[in-house]
Amino acid sequence: MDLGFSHRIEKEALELPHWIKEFLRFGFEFFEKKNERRRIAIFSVPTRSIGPGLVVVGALCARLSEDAADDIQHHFDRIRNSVLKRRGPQKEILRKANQKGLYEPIAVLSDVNLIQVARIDTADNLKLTIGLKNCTSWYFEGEMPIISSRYSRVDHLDAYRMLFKKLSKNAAFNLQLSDSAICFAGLGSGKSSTYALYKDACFEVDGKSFSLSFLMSILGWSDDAAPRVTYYNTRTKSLDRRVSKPKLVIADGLAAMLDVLNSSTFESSDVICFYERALDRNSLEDVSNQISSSYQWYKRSTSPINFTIPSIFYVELEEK
Amino acid sequence: MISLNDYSQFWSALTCLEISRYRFMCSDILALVKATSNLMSIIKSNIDEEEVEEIVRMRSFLLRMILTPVAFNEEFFESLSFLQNKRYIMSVWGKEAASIAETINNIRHHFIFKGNPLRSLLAEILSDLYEKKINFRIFCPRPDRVKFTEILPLLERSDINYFIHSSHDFALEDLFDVLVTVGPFQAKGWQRTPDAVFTVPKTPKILNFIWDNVFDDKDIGFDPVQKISGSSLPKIQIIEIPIRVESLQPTLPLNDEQATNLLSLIPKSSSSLVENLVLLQISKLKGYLVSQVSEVLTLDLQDNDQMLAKRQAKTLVAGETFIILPDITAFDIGKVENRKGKYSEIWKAELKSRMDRDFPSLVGMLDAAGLKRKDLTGALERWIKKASNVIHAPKRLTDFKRLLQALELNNNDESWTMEAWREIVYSRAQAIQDGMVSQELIDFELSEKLGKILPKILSQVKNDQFTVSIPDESLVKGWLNFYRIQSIDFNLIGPEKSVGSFVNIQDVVQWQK
Repeated sequence: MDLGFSHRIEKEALELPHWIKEFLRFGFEFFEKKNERRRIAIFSVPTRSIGPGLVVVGALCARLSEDAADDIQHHFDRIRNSVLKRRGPQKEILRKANQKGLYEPIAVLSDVNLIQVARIDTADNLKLTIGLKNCTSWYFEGEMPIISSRYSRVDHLDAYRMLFKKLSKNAAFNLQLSDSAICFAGLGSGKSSTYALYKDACFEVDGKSFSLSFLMSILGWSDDAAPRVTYYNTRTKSLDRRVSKPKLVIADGLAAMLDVLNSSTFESSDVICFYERALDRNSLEDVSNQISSSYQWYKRSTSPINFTIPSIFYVELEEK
Repeated sequence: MISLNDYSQFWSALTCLEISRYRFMCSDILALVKATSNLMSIIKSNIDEEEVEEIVRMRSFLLRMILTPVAFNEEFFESLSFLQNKRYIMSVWGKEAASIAETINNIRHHFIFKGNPLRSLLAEILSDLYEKKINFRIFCPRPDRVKFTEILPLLERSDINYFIHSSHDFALEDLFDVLVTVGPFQAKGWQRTPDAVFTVPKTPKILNFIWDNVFDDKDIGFDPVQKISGSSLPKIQIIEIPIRVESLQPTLPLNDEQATNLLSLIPKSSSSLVENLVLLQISKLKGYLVSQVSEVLTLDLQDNDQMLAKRQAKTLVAGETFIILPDITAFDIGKVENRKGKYSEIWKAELKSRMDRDFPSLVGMLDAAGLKRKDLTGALERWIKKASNVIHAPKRLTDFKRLLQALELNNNDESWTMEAWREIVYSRAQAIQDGMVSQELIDFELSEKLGKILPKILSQVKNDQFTVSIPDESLVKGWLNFYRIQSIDFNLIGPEKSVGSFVNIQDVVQWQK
């Protein structure tokens, strides 16, 4: 589907169309805004657009500026928890990056906050320790490493910088690591067809072309860049990576919206959702009922993020 | 599909949505609706039956007259022809009914002579739009499409799709110049207008053709977020164009909506109606009505992984999908000597004894035999129940074999296993006859066997309808009827008794709330 966007960003004059800037700014400000109460933003849109993808990129850029905006702590906690599972049916095996060998977590050395692992595929019973600093060299058997030389590509930092000039110094370091604070719940049609929607929308920076799908930084969409956004498949009701619970979910379409708002996986996450309002009355009533039932726990936000694109309706709710 | 950028610009420039409403003032229509409705009430009060054929026909007739651009000809008034037999009306329903029937007959003759003025003007305007190459669209329920193509056959022959039948169609449309609609703007029911016509207007102008005394729903143009946020929708400007139609009945000053609302004058169907239905249209005149969530046995030519499968009605796509309706003549139960549970007594006793003796080891054995279920404990509890009308047992033969293997009862004696299985099947077949077990078993049996005759089925898919006999090895005997789904309409209301059966497309209009 042609969603009609290709834009060249000149080095000096960044002048994007108003609607593109609105979506990017909204994503950035919504993520950046610190609020202790859970927030739900709902957009009623007249037609399908790349808006949800732009909001993802906006939020991703806000996240890039934060300290420790990566999966390291979660990864370390997971290795730590795997010690407890070692005798059960769901025991997990570890591998060390660029080295042979399978390791089993055997003990937590609490006083030094280290985890002891033992090699199990040879008789030497080699024992090593994993700490918060070196845990990124370890990954679970059958999964992707959370950092490796594969993720050295950070040239898209320039593209993010052209979109958001105030990106902090953290961004370059953060871009090398995977992160799962932001989740994108795509259309029910699946990950590859959702990808197809975004791959044709391109930004051109200094002669290099960056597709929106690349900048959304979802595993498998961004070649050799570290995944910074997880993907939730509405049809299979599963995430594409084993991660901690996201801080923010962006849901594209009615099915994703209803699914995310009713899923226990996202019960503590902020949510931004989009639905195309050219729906049958029954579906519109489903949306209405969803919002009405939320009103027990939520109220209209007193200081919503400003958003103005003609023909788009927007409401922001926050926990009472 | 229009881009957001282009649409936002259109929205910003749209000062108002102009509706030119051609309102046909015809006292004969009101008189005909009142007379026919009175007659329906008289017939209803004389007959105990829920819905007699005459009432169904009259309701359908009135709604088609009010809501669609139907031709006023002998064929259309055929459903009222029984009223011409005065003696019959007098003898069956009395003098008052006969008098009403006379009024109806007079108006009927007048209408057939004069034709439908709404349809005539619509034809004139559609031809004009077409000749001037104006980019217009027509919104109507899919089965009413033919009423427009009869008026202007060129609509069907063009490369442009002039028709919008649903919210989904409307969502896919780009901007256009004029939308043509007939009847009131209703939020629900067969004739419902997509809310998006007002919340996502794609045109600055609507031409609406409507009889007088028919009213729009007040909440049409609904969007929950717009309502909560208080954002503005485009302003609507209705330009009334009254068209006075020569009538037999005197024109009355009519200001009372309660007394003159044509749609509310018509007695509602007394059948119990259910919502969320899907109409699978299989020919110009016929459709199959199912619940949106029911699972329908289908052949989907575009699903290369699994062409034959049960699919939820709401997920079906028209064109390359066939619904499969079995015509069962028999259910082969084989030779079962003792049908009261001779075999089940043996395996159930063994199962119970194993469960009592060492439950964990039994679970291990079942697991090793390949019988894995999430609710295994619950299933085992059911299976040890004594045989009554039904012998509770695994649903599939493969699982039953696994159970016997775990109990070490099959001992290479396949015939013992099969006799025990036949006993179970017999009890189920008996229960089906007794109405205790649903269609599921038959569906299961069919879907298991269908794959084997797929080539035979595929050799016939060039036809819109065809029949294939059920494979011999199936316990179910009979034929499978395949019907290509021509089009699908969702979110319908219909009588409970018609769900899961064929209906006449023309009758669907009367099932409204």
